[in-house]
Amino acid sequence: MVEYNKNGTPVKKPLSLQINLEKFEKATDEEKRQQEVMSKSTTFFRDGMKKLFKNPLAVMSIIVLTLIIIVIVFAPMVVPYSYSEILSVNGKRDKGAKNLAPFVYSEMEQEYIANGGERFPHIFGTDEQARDYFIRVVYGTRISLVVGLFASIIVLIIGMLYGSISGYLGGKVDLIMMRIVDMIYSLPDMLIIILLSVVLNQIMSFKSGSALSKIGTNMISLFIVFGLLYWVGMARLIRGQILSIKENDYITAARTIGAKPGRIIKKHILPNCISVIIISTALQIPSAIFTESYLSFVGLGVQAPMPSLGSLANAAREGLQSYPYKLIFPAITICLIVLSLNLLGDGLRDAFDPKLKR
Amino acid sequence: MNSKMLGYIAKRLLLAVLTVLLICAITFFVMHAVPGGPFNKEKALSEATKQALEERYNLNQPLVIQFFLYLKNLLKGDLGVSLKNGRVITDIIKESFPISAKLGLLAVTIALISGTVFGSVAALTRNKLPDRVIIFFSTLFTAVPSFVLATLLLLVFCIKLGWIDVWKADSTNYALPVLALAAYPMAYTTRLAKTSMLDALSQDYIRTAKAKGVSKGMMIFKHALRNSLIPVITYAGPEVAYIITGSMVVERVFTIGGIGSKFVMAINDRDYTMIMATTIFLATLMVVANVICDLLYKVVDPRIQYD
Repeated sequence: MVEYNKNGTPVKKPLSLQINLEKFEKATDEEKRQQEVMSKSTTFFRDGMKKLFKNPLAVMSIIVLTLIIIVIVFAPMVVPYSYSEILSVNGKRDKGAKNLAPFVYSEMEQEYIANGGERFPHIFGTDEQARDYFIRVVYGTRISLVVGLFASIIVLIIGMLYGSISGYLGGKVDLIMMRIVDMIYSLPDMLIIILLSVVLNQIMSFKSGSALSKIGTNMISLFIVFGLLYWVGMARLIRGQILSIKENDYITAARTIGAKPGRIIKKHILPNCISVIIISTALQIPSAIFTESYLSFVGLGVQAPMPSLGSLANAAREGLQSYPYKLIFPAITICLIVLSLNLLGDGLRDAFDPKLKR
Repeated sequence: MNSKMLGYIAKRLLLAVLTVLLICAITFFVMHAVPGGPFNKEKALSEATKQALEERYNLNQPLVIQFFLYLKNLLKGDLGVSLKNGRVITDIIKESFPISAKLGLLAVTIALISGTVFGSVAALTRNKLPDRVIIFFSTLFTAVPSFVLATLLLLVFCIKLGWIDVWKADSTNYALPVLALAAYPMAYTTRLAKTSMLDALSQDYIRTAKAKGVSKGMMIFKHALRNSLIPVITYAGPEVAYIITGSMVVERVFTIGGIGSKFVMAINDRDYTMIMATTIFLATLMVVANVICDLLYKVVDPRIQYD
């Protein structure tokens, strides 16, 4: 028979090894409540996002980038000018509209407004060919961002394929593949890029009117150059990741229970290096934008009249003394984009992979 | 100096020579993909003249033979003649390179030294005001392309304020171009130096030194700083490469007649021989800088394995 204490716990027999429950107190309701899990169970992704949104710099750069993207998407719908359009009033070319300061109308436009017409303000003024500068900066930003994004995607795809093959196969294949990467890595990338751009510009020609000719040979050569040279860093990174993940015990465990290589890569390796891949892609975008603006500045960027931030800054050097705002606007835009992408990349790294340090 | 190290040096030098050869090959063959030869002028030459000229310059030989002839000339220090103005390219380089070298060396030195100093200060005053200020500016400067900074500096100090004369060929005022060139590598070095300094400060030997009662200055300079310099040294190679490419735009903005602006001019003129020669010259320079940096790295840090 079991005897019970007053508080309802069984009495300890003298020789029993059982814990003497009499010495314990029952938890009060308040104490019980402390054990309750108040927050929802969280996933890796959600946890990372929470950390990201706690980082004020990252949040600020997300806001800035969102604003820039909203402007470049919607501004062409609002502003009635196009980036290559030379301003005209009632079908007549407005010769006085060259190099206007921000928010200034030319004489013809003032007359037009005085007669009851409406004219959209030139937010950033106009350039030396009487084109609206705001819309040119907007299109320049579009092009710089698109170049940055596409170049990073190209780099990501090539680098990921090459790196994962090399890392997973290992052995002799890995050795040979990595020697090739070493060779490309030791080439001075910028010089080779300039060289290739010069030549590709000369030898590539497309039928006018086709989609490719619209993009322009310069831009295509830019992508080719990125695809040829910039993937090596990504390939190295992914190979390193896969090599170290491959050695983990859970991979061995998966292999022991008979998981196939495809499943191991898909279920165990990729989820473990996806954050590294995303972060380094995010950090690749600003460097691509840098390269594009650099090439545009040297005169190898996108084709006129299409603007890019680099070519706008380059064009602004003439007449710098009189119209400094023509430099300031594209310059600030480049800096803002690169700065916020850098900060966002850093924030992503801190949130998703604190171990990864540059 | 053991045999392993000698082996490493030999391997590294071999890789460098191979890289330079690869660069020469890429430059040569890529440039030959451009349509049109040097004698395709508006005024058509007679077939006989053209043939004679091609024979004179070995242009009738197969491309591979032409490449080896080109390499032979390179080894002799003959980089060819500029298509644009007919000058010997070696002379152009001899004339313009010292200017760029002076500018570049100043920028590299300033970037490395001040970057290390700022980075160490930031690490030692972690989360205090100096750290915040330094990190703010270094983050800012990594987002400004060198040509934007150069043009802004020119605008503010030369045109608006008029403090500094715009660079002239005989001027000795290097302040603005050097600043424009050094800003990005300086910011990068600062961030690098800060992380490596923080890393060094958290090591056991620092705690030991502290426990022994080593003075703070001694601890920082003798123990922490020396160890934190290692990652900074590895960055010196890429930094030289960055400054060489950066000098192209900065020299253009400040109208300095260095090799960088000559290169950009050649690009705009489509002066192919000049582009070829300058690319090979600058690329070799970068490769040499990388080799020196790699070797120095192994000397400074004996823990590194030779593989």
